[in-house]
Amino acid sequence: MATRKIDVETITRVEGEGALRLKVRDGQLEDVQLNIYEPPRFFEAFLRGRSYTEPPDITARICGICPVAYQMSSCHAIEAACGVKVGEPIRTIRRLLYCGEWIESHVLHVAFLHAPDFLGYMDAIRMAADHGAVVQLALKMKKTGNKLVTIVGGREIHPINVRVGGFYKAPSKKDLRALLDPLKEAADGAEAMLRWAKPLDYPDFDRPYELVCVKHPDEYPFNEGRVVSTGGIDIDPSQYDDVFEERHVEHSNALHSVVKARGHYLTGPLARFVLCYDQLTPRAKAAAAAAGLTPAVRNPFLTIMIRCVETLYAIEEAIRIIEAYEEPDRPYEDVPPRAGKGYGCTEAPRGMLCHHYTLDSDGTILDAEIIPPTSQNLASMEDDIRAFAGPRLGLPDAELAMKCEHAIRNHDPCISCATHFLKLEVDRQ
Amino acid sequence: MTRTVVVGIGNTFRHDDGVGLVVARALRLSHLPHVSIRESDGDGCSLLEMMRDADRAILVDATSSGLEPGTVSRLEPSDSRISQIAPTSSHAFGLRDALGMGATLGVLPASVVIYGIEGLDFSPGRGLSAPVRKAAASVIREIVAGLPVVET
Repeated sequence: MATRKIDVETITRVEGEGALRLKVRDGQLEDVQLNIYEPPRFFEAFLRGRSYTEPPDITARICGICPVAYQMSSCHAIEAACGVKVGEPIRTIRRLLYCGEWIESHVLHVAFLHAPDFLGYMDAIRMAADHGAVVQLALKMKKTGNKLVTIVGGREIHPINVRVGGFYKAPSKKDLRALLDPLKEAADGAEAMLRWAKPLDYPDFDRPYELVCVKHPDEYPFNEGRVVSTGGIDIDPSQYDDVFEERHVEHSNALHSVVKARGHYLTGPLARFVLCYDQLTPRAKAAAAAAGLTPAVRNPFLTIMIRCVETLYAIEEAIRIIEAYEEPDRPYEDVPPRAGKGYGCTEAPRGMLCHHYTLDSDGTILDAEIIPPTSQNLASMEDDIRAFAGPRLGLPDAELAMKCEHAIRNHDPCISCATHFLKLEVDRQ
Repeated sequence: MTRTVVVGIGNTFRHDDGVGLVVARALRLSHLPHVSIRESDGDGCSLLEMMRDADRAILVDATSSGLEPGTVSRLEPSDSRISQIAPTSSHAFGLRDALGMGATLGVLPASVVIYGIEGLDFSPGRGLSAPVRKAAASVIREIVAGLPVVET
């Protein structure tokens, strides 16, 4: 038997650490394992016994790229447990904060993390030597996203202005209005980035995913709505445990989430675009159409363009909110504690993030569950690698490794969140 | 007019990791003419933006490279020691990436100097260890002494 073994020690340009192992027997791909070796982080355990007011600040620390998502999902879950639904002004500021995070995160992923895969560069710095204009554009757009998060959240990374019930301080109308011109410029930038991404080389790779996301009747989803899927799921977030479960798998510190009745599913930009296409703005729809994107899309490589469309949406939504913004009388609502369990599902840039909290009557956290998008997507990422690497096993190991990393980065995995990323090992015998 | 930006990088809630910010705040209190003082948590994209319109950038960050605590390394972006003191972070894009990207794009100031101050204590909590506090004072003196003389 011919034996060939490839070790790709670390998959770069993803958040966190892990490894990918391919087992090849007589030229056939026998097994694919995404091994997560970053140690478990025990956030759920150390939230127990703490006050219900603490998760927005504590869980924001899980990720430097999507802290807003952690803050939003925790607030919603805790408010649900306490039977409080915040009013429109606070909900709107939360959407605005989320817009900032989507802009920051998507632009970073498109230009700095994902684009080098399509163009064959080891990293964005080497890509910048030949594609300086798009990198400069990305830097400028990201700066605008960062400013938005800073104004609403109090600082760029790990915002400090979020509390259960709302915000410590409402952003000022004047500060926000100063963002209108940069945002309008960034909207043009998102369209330019999409035009730049359109001619990239996309492999034919449609996948039979069950796509899952939060869906709201009137809005592209950030932080409110039902949990829906292309497989017919349509539930309130509180029914989450009825439909989904997290399973331990031996080779990974991250749990794998599955739809109980069927198995693997996928969350993220592809799911949102397919399931919530109708809620996009006319301009975002037009940009998608010009790029050839329709709700029939199932190719994960095209997510680089979907992220551009979503970036455009987030920018337009931010502009809409800022133009209508009036400072609320009070930036938060009181959330008195009560015993109960609450569920919160919101859309992080990389997919649906669910938090569940069980509280005691004085607000002490008895139990916490955090289900990040990457752990929901891990099994589908393994399926992708199985389907994608299988026909490409004849490639030299280094090239195969790059292809696999590309297929994984389609999903913008946040492995530190999911450990819960990446060495590649191809074991050929 | 030479525009100088001093960027302190770090986290004051991790003891010595905050030394860059301590230096920046001390310099801010000195109201130095034509010097803007900025604070950074290390995000590379923001660092590039902070340096963009300056002629001269001075970056101050803590290092954890195994040197004697309090050792000050004065580095330029091309210095190979940068990768030792500022390893690539899994959190996407840090100081080293910013310097590499800035050089590639041609957007770095004509002069960039990085002061790396070797830390002793990076545990959670506030305040600097004794050797790092002493090193911070010497870096502050060196930065002020190196600024162009402004006629008033």
